[in-house]
Amino acid sequence: MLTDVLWVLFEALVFPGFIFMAIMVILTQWIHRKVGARVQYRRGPMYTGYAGTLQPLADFLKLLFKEDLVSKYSLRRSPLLILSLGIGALITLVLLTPLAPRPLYSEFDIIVYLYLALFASLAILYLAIASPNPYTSLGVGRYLALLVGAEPPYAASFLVPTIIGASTLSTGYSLYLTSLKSHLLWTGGLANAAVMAIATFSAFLSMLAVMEVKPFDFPEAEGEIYWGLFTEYGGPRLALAFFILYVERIVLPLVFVLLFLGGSWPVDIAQNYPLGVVVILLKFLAVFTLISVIDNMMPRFRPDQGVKFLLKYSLPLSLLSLIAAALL
Amino acid sequence: MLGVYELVLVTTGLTLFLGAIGYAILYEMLQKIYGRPLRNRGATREEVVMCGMEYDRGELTAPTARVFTMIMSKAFPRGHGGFLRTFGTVVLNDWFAWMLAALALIVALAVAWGW
Repeated sequence: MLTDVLWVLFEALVFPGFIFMAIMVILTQWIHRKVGARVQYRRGPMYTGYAGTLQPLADFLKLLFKEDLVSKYSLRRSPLLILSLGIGALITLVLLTPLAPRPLYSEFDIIVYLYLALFASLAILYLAIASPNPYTSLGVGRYLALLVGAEPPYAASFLVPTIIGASTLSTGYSLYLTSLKSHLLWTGGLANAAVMAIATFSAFLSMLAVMEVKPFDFPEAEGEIYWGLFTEYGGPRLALAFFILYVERIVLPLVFVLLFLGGSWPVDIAQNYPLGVVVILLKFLAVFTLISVIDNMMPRFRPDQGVKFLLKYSLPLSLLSLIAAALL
Repeated sequence: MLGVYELVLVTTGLTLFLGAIGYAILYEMLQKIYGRPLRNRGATREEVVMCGMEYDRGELTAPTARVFTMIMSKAFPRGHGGFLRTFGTVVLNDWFAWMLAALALIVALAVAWGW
């Protein structure tokens, strides 16, 4: 019992928990900046650390150590607490995946995943609502509309692999058990592969929207509404807001890799844990690089265009794949 | 394998624990040790950014629900008109109603499949 508790604490604090996530945030932000620089014919971070790898850390610390300034109309303590809970929820999610040496899982844990993942979006929403400003209000209105368009297809399409897995591989609607066998979802016949392909496409689109990646970043539009959700924030509060956004941009693609891209396949992570982890992380880095390219190349949707796109294409596709998965 | 209720309890506990650790390390500890204290608390430093516009406390918040409704009406002009005639404006303004309707649809599909 004590050993189990110590393992959970180790996983939560070190790997794949807090420290690992902090390192991954630095690494992924470095990749994001390098990709952005490449797209724009620049060199990107060069001087801080080897090839500029520590530049995101330097920028984060710079924000963190600035004066903590809050407008007199804003809530002071509660946004920070809610934001920290959002970070905690996202890091806890990784403990439900095969990346954890002793993962936490149960039947129907995909529902726990969806509820914890939504917590991050609600934390960002609360952070914005807590500071009154016309531009923030515009950002909140836009973010609400984005969530209405993005969350239903996101939830529906991420349910598809677990439903197919439960009916064909007896994985019991578990994120962890489905992740172990997700490559078999593509090889269980043409119908399965077709449903998975539709769900993958829809899941990727709605995931971009949930993460506010271009072309769906209209709640933050810098040039129009001065960063909308975060207009009033700076210093350590903005550092925490960035931290939750960046952790979300790690956890969601990671789960996308586990459910839709075969997880650790061709290595069985239950047999060879270290190599399985390496394969998952390599697949994640490929997906993250693709997301960074999209983020740097796409123009921004208008809010109504973005919502219409999600409800017109992503939602029907995800519902279609959900119904088809149920009928398989 | 845990029971589903155990898992909900453990994950909620871990969320609280990691949230507290994150808050303590990132905000309280690092910021308090290395952070720069506020040296000049002038009145204007806590004012809201309004790009030079005059404002009072009541004008600080734009009607968020109206922004949301406007986006939805532009995204679906025909559907919005139909909703407006059928339900009035209350449902359209209510973000929770939209989310509840969407989640109800997904749950209905899941239950229909389960039966």
